[in-house]
Amino acid sequence: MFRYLIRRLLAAALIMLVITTITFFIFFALPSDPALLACGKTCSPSRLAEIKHSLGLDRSYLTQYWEFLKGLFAGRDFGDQSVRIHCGAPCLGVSFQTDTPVLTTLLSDFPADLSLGLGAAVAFLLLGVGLGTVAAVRRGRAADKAAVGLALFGVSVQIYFIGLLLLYLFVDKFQILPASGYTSITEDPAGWFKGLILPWTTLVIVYLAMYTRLTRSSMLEVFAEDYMRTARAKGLPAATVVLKHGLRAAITPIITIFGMDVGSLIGGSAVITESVFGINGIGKLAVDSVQNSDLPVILGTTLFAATFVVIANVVVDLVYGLVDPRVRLA
Amino acid sequence: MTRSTRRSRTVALTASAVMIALGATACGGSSGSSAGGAPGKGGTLTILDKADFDHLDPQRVYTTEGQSMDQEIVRTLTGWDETGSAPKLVGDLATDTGTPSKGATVWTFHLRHGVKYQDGAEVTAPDVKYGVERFFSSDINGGPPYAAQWLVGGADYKGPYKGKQLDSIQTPDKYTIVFHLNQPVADFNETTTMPGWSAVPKAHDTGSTYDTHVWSDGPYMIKSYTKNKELVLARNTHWSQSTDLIRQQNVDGMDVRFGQDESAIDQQIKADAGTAQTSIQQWPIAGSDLAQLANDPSLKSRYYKIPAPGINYLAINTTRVKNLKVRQAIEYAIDKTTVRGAFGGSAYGDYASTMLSPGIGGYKKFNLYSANPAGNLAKAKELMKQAGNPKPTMSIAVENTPTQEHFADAVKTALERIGITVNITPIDAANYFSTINNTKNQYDLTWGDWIADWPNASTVLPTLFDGRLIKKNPQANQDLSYLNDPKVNALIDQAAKTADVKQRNATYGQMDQQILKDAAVVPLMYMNFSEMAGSKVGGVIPDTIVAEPSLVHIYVKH
Repeated sequence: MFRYLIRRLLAAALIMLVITTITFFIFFALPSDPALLACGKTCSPSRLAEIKHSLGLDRSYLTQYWEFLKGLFAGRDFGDQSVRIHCGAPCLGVSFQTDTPVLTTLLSDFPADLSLGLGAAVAFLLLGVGLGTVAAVRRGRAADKAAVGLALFGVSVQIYFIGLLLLYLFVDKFQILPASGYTSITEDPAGWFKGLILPWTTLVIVYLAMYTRLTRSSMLEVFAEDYMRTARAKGLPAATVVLKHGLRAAITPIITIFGMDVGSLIGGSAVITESVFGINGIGKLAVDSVQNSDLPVILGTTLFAATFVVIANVVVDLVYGLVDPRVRLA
Repeated sequence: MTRSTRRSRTVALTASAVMIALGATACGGSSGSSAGGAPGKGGTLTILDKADFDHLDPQRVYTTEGQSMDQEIVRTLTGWDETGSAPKLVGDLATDTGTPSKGATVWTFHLRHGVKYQDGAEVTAPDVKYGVERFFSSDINGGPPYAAQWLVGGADYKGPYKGKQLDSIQTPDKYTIVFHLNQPVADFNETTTMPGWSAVPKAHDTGSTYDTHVWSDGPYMIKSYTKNKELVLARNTHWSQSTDLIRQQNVDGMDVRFGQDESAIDQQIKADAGTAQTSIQQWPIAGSDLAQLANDPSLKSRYYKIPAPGINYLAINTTRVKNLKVRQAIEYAIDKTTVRGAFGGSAYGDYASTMLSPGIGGYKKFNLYSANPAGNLAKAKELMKQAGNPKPTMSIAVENTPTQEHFADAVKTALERIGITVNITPIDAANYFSTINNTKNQYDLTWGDWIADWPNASTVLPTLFDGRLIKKNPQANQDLSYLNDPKVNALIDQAAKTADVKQRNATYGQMDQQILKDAAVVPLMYMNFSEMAGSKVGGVIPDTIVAEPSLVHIYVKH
């Protein structure tokens, strides 16, 4: 188990390195020039050269890449003119746009994504699996049709639409919930919760569909197995058959998907939800950084998101071992 | 906007009650007093913005939102009083609008006594000199180019951080500052209304991180600022109304929240519930919401249509479309009604026939082409015939947004009628200007817009049509028409040398006409910017200089 974990973590580190390298070189293949963006409307060639130098973009790509990697382990100092900005290890660089160390920004944005992603994930997992199970048990009946219909609705509507609709109804029209924005849980726990109700609901509506359908089909498959018939024939209570024998076997593929979803949600993939509800999370940061050609932030957000997806995958494998006794990790 | 009584320094000094009353007069017309509630002091104004400011550092800011915000924090040498029917140039940090000498190559400003920073220290001329010197540092990037263009020795100066000063800015005493320019600049005192012509105390300069540490000498100071999240402003208790002709200090604080979706902001302010009642937006209403909100009678009292000193235009590359007749035919063929429809209809702006918009010094009303905004097809066809009926294929560069692609379709349809095939080239919106401004990327037709830095033709026509600049800034070329007309260039030089405002404006009018004679551009619309505020927000002045709802007199009703 321990050796397995070490092996997985080493593989994860390699994946991250590959991701960083690809992101880095794709950036330079793009037509945008951060120095030109920073330079402003009427930019003379000499001024442009100076700004390139102060952003460190006048050195070769390989040197820049090496500096970046070095910064990850040893930290770096930025700026030689107006101010020295120290960026301690692990240094992801300093934003071209805000002159703030990227890691500082990521860490300050992270609680929002963690709250949004984790809260929504718990809700859509429980509801999705629940609804899916009910649909499978009541196959072909009204409950099944309702659950499948609901799922179909969720999968068809866009976050953009449902988010604005919820905002209109609960914030603007009936004024039950506060206006958009993220409140820190340490600052005001009740405000934190209230502010997240709508974003959570939006994500649940959208994600619920897949979990319901997945659970339903996976359960139906398991129901057809011989051991299920045996369990029923033994005279076990229906609930035990469905939950202990059925769900436990059916849940493995769901855990895989769930792991990926949680990882990417926490890593900032809920960008449209963030934007509609004015939550300044990592997803929004990533999109903005691409628009501003802010290389350090692009790299930082990519690495950060990748970290969570990779971690989620490792956790999923570990959970497999717990849920399904047939899986042995070595 | 009603014409309000101009405040004098003594009146404002005597009693705040007078000020409140004056505030009410100043705001009555523009803010819709019908919404009820008395104007007064106190309360918090919430500002809802799609994104953070480009910069707040006065030497780096170059967007209308950022400039408007900086007016609350930073005082400039001169400024605009917009409480009257037309903006009036006044001294801000300076006692008056400055004194030109030696043919407007030397400008002297005397500073007011008793203007204070947030720590109570007095603002002095060397602080302004230091502030302006910051423009030159490559760390302080993003701002306007004027200091570098005009101050003697600017080409070789690299900013104050290595201990060097710029000799062409002199401070003979604590309250006097003198600028030596390398060319006559008759409207230099309008340049100095931009945020960068302000004081930065050396001891509080944090270099490239000054955005979040701007040291205030205005009515509000930074209490906290988390980039891309929230900016909180509090009263600067050392600010004094008696030294300030432009601003008031009505609300206790301002809370600027960044990062909400445009439509969500529009919806929130329209619904006017909770904090939305005391909120205002700085980014224009989303294009998709514009027509609906502009025509909603219930919003009339809190909807601000601000005519911007700007122009939306289609540049015709004169080095690629060489035949004047063909260019003239394009002028006649474009249907501005469908073009305007793509941008959001009549709320977006009036049809343009000149590059200078009304309200800009130098504007002259004329229309060399079709009087009907839908164009004149017969005339266009005739011109094409005179040109020998060529069947050219042309590229058009636009941003890859739905609005602009609809616009490109409108142009395509119009030009097809006169035998021109149009290929649309959509370009990533975030990189649009850095792409089209690079002389390596040339198109036959290019969409562009331009907002004057101050309401004078000098910040429009020379920048957009001086063909001699193309080679100078190959990666930041603003002359999208690639026009290099000796007649236009001569007029540009003549205008710069003319100190007399009337004469200079006449020259600019003539220049505008020559550019249109060359058929180098199709002026499309004089732009408006439209924003909304909540029902409890008063004192909003449409700032036609910056093209923003001005916050300088804003208050919240209780």
